[in-house]
Amino acid sequence: MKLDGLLLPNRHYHIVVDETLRCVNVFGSTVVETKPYTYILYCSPCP
Amino acid sequence: MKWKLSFIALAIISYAAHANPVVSLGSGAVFKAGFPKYDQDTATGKWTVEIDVTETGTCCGFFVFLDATSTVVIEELIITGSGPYTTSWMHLVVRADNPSGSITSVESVNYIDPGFGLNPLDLVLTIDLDDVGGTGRIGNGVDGTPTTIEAHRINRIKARSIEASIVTFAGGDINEIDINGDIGKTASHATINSGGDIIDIKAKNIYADIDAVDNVESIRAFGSGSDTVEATDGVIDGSIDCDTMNNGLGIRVWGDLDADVTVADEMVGTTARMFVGRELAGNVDIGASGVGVRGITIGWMPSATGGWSGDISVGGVALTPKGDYTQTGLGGGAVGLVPYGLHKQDCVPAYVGSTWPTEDYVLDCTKSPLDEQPVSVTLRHYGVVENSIVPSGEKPFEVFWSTGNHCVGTCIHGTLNDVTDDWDLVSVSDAR
Repeated sequence: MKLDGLLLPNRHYHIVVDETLRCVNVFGSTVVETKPYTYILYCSPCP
Repeated sequence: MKWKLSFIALAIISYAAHANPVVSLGSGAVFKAGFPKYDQDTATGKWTVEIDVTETGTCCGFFVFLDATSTVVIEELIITGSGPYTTSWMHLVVRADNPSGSITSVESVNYIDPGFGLNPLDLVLTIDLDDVGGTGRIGNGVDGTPTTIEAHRINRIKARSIEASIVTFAGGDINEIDINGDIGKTASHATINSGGDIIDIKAKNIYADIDAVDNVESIRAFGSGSDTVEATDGVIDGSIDCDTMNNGLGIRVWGDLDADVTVADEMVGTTARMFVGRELAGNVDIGASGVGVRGITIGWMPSATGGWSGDISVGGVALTPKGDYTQTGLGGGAVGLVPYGLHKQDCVPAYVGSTWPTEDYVLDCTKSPLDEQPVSVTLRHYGVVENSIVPSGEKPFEVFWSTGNHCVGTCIHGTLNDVTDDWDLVSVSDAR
């Protein structure tokens, strides 16, 4: 999944992915599960 | 009396000097006239043994045993059988598991149809050579001449090495091939063709082209380890083709999977997986007509490097981009198995941890503290993901910011501020 956004210095960002992003079993079945996670981004402090 | 003792002594000397293969029958069968035949090549010392038997007893089936009185090499074993029953069998058992001698090699086994008007007997084959102390060789590893081990079904082949073509006839399963050395050589692959299923093949290294008309349960290469002792070597090279890979262990290799693997149909069962300890260099193609829930794990061991250069296609979908990650990354290298973990190290920017101040910062900030900077983020799952709320247009994520460190442990995390509106979804499924 690709997304674009804006960052400000001296902050960190949580990208929270919930059950709305579904994982589709690629082995031919219709099995679908979800796996929430949080991805952390940092913007470095300014000098 | 003296004459009798001399005769017995002469007989013993004659027997010892003429060490040879010995064929015997279990109950329910007799040899045809003139069989078994034993012929020794005077130049090589190798033996050709011909067996022709007829079933006489109660239906159905009987055993044929091949032993030896000393160390011999069977260059060719030719067997045929017939009987009154159309669905009977003969089980040929080559017994050579004595390290002190007996049969050290079986180079070829050939089945001969008994001919018109006779009911042929299916040949079931067991070869138990010494797999540790002796040579225990299947095939001709000396002069390189291709040899064939053929039967209707193979119950078990146990040996030190295989350098031959193993073939079962239509519908015939290969139950077990247990090799304490290598199958094939790097420059000369063995072939294993099953007319039915393959239940279990295991060896230190497998250099072979393996084909099963129906199902493959387990193929394992354990290198310098064993089934239970971890190692970092062990290779499967060549090719593996089958219709399904269900209900067994699938493919397990402590080292590299260099073989191309094609599973035409599904791959199911609670344990059927492809475990690759180190590198995946072969191409893997798994069909999708059945219902499957299993996956591929690359680099599942802590010591594995987990490089991935082969192409993986599941259900006609090529999994891209290819990863290069280790077991320590979240997700563990699982491919094609839901729910997919996020492969943090392969994301762009890479997720590098959460311990302040050793972060690799996403941006090299040289602007004012108030300047916003655009960033593109690619989150990689190595599996098919989709936005369940499309076409509503809602985003399948939320974004929050907080000042300073993302706390771990006991520090106090700052207030989270929702800035989801400042972020746009570019694509869901294109960049898995």
